[in-house]
Amino acid sequence: MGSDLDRQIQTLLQCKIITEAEVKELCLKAREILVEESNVQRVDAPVTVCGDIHGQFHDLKELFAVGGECPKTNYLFMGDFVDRGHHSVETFLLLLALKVRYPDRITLIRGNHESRQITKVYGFYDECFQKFGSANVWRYCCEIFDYLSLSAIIDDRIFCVHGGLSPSINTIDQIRTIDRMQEVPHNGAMCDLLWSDPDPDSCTGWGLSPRGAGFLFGESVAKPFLHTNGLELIARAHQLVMEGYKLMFDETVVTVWSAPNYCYRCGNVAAILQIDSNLERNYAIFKESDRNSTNSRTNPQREGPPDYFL
Amino acid sequence: MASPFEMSSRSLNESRPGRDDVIRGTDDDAFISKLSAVNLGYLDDPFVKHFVKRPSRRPPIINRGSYLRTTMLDNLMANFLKNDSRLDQGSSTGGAASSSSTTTVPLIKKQIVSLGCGSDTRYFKLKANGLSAHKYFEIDFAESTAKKAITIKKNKKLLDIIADPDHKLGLGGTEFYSKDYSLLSGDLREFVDSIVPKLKAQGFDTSLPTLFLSECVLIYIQPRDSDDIVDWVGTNMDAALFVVYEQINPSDPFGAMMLRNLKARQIELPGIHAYPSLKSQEERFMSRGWISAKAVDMNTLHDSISEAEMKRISALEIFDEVEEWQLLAQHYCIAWAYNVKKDLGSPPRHDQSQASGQEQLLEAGRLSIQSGYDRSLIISLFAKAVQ
Repeated sequence: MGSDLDRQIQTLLQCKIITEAEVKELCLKAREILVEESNVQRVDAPVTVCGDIHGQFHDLKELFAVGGECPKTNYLFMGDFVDRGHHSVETFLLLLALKVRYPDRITLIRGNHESRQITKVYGFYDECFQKFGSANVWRYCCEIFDYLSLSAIIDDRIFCVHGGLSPSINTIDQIRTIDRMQEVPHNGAMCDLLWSDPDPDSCTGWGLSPRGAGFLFGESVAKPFLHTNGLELIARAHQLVMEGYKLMFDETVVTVWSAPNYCYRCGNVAAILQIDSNLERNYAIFKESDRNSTNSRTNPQREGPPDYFL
Repeated sequence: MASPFEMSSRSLNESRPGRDDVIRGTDDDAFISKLSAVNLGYLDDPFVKHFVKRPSRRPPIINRGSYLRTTMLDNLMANFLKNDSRLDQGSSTGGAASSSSTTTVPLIKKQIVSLGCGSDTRYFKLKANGLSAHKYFEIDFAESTAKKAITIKKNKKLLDIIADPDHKLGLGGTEFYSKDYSLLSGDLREFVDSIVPKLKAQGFDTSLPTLFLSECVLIYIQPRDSDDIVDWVGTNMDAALFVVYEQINPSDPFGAMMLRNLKARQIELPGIHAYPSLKSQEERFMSRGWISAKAVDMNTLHDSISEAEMKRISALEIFDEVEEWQLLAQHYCIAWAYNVKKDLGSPPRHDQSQASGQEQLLEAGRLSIQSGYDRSLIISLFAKAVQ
């Protein structure tokens, strides 16, 4: 089985798909591992923290080129593996295969796009159907999404979550009590963790989110949360930042964005957050892979060009 | 107008066929997007479906953009066409002096000229809602107008709106003529020499207040050619309102990527570097002596959507592209400008150095209403339309 898995990883690394039966098998194994993980998965430094990938497979390989291969580098991915990009299938299956092969060297937590409802609108469902001729692979993957952890804590000091905080949550222990094995709900603590955003323009309390789910949280919410839980930093993803990462609230919150030239359209650079064993931080910036331009832009028939208003 | 670029003009001619096909293709793309927005309930336009052969659902960000652009331009054009009595009522809210305007305002005949109209359905939509122009002209490449003319000719619902039994096809089926609607074929790069005579042959009247619309059109031609159009309109029309929707900000990372991506689809935007900003979009008109000009980006217009309407469109589909939307919307603008000939009445002296575009717009309307001349009425008509 080890050699089968290694072969599948090699296949996926070439941006080629594995068979539906192999996906099913892989998901079964992944489930056994993920079901044992806590809602707040403990991770030891050194670790490299990554933000949204969104199916930009060639850029994920660029990320590994910059950050080092797994398992040599210990990785934490903060969700949104799928949707928007052209290779959500290859991207998610590669990360999942790495998780099964090296469970202690890669942590995957759930993003708001790891959801049945969102993937039907933003591309993963269509891509699965197109590449496998049925929705089976999409269904296997969605079952796995329900098992993904909701957050992680690095060395008891750095809290990592896809979106942000929730008015229903004051302590890390409260996150531990959430029943996460379900589709992402439309409201409540689990929804907020995956959907909320920090609001740099407001230093007070909670605000309504323009996304229609989750909340905006200000500095006056973030700092007490850190204090209460003995933390020093909230690392999160979820929002495109043109410079790849963005520090807020006196460097108590950081957004990490790992999809360069997001949607092959936004012109942004990407970042990963490298945390060493002393919890010293380094942000490594990277640009989009050259493979994107040779594939998507000059071959619009195959992969669809980015949309504009014409 | 004599062009100092004779040589490059010729080289453009040589490369025309392929490039023009691509530009015509942008209409299909835009119209599939428009139908997607109609089918999801963003827009109400029963005519769009007649012009799209292969419908497909577009991503939420594109639907929202199609909705915003269409709604804003629809509103502007509807305001322009609205009854003059409404104009009079409206102006009374504008300032203390407006009571001096007459209570019986003569009906003003109006024209619309849609440049590079593609499959646009606004003539049908506006008229179905009781908003008619005296004459509505649409102009595009013959390949596009032929397709549109035959679609109209074969469609009873569309012909019912036109409501002219004497309507007819012309020029080998590339044109369509009726009492208040003319679809004309031609190349906008030959506006003065070839389009203007065609317009005049169909009853185009330079003395009537006329709205010129360029919806992602002028940007596809060389600035010297689009400038010729603006110059001609400013010089020859007694009263013109020019409305432009197009891309801006080509130099920031998103804008540079936009140009790269479009280039890979063989789409060039020759006009974007000549008018790359809101300011330069306004200057395009102000430098030519137009009375007023204003340009706003799509983020500003998005912010102007009422709370109730925002609630309605937010419920149509999930919208998780907030940051990306803001980026995209920064790169599109609507610009409008108007000009009214001075000898139509005593012109309000207009100081454009201090006030913002919006203030200028209101001021132009207010001053002229006091003067009580025809000119002022026209100006207030324009000012109302773009409010």
